[in-house]
Amino acid sequence: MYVAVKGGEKAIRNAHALLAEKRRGDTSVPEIAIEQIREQLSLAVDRVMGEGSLYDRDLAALAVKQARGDLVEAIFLLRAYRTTLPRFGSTLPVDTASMHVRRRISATYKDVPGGQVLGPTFDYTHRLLEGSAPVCRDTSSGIAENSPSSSEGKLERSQFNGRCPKVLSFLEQEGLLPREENTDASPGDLSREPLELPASRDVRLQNLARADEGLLLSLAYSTQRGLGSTHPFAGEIRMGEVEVYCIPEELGFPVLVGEITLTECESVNQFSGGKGRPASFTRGYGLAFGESERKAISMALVDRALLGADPESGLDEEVRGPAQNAEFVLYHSDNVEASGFVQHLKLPHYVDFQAELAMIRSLRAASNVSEQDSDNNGK
Amino acid sequence: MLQRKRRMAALALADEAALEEAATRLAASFSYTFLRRPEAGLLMVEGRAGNSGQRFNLGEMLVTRCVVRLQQKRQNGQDSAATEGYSFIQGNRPRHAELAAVFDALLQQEDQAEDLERSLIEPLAAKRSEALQKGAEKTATTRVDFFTLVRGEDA
Repeated sequence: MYVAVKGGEKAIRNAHALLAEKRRGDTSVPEIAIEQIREQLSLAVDRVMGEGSLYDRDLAALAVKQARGDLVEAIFLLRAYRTTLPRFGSTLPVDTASMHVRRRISATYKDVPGGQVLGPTFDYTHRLLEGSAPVCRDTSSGIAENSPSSSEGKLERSQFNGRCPKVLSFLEQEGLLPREENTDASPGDLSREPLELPASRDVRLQNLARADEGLLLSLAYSTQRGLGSTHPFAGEIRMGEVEVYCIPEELGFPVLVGEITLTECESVNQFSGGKGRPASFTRGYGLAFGESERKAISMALVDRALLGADPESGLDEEVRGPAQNAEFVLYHSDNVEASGFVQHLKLPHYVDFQAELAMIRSLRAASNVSEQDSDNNGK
Repeated sequence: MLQRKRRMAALALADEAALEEAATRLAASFSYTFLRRPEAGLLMVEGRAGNSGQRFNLGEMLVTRCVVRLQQKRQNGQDSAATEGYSFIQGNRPRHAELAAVFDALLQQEDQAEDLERSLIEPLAAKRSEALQKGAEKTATTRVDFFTLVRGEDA
């Protein structure tokens, strides 16, 4: 336990002034604008919006700047800021089937109605640092220029209008994949009530949507490496804009508020059947603010892993890995909480430590005494 | 209601400058008071598991809302009956929220609606569908047809 301390005001003030100076960096380099972060570091902005659990590109960009690019710190800033704003209500559930799609791929069907569009992806890039000369080299050998100019896609544009049917609906129609049950119950809200176990799927999904991408990625990876394997396929990944509606009390009809960018992943997973259930596929769901594909895929895998032991799912899978353990996943997924608790170790623990010190010293003194005693007895 | 919903959508997605321009053009013809000044706050965005199942809270979004009461000034000095305009706009956009509420109120003034529909709403809707079309065309250039190769062991 840490203790309250007094003093240090001047040092703290100076530390913050120094922080501001470091944040600004070399003043001969132009200062970066919020708009530049919003437009050019948009994936950092997306991650901060998702885990900060607040969709606003301007606030997220401001947070990234203030945090010197430390995204977990930026997420903390955004979470703290949201508590100062009133909650007007909830939106209607977004409909990703009506998304204006900018990327849509399926790893399960080659020829999927609506086609596969790559959109602005890092996939298939060579991961070569661009720029005329990132470091000095002996240029006599030279590196070939990467020129991705192809007219391939241009022939295909005719039918694509940005709307695509959901890939998993094809499996649903065949009865090979259970439909998601729609109870319409009002969902639990972790921003208002603390997490309690067992957590229902609505609460788990909110937790995962806000969860640290790094943790989700590692957990998803762990299921693939065999720690609770769920044999996933990326049934569909789509990214694009969805319209958001709310029903203001005074009006009583749905009003369009705006559009948000979402990335969705629906995984198709193996299930061999049993306990009176015919063999069928199962599914996991990932949905994230912005262009956050790694996050959405990881979320779908972890959602599916957690479904295994959820009595509601009827899957009745044995918990063999950390990703299947709801307590482990849900209580450790929030990087604001985790970072706070890990980093609180920096705060003064003088009294605690003095107590431990006194304890160790007395134990050692006691053992020295008894050793001397036994030595004396031996003589 | 459907008509109002459609018009409010066009106002919400509009470029703020376009609304400002239209408001300047009509400024002499109406007056309004705030029933609720522009105020930023949060809406909890909901999703559904698998897009069709159980509802869950995805995260919040920042919005600005505003409500105005508006009257038209008539030549004879008699003001029109008041209408209430309402807006819910994404982000921290106080001016956009104010203008959208003003136009929502104006569009409920019967002698204004038709003219505004033509001069404001229709161009906004056209601009929006053009932008969507352009976006879809860009995306379509990244359409792929993967083909599977016969693997050695299958041959």
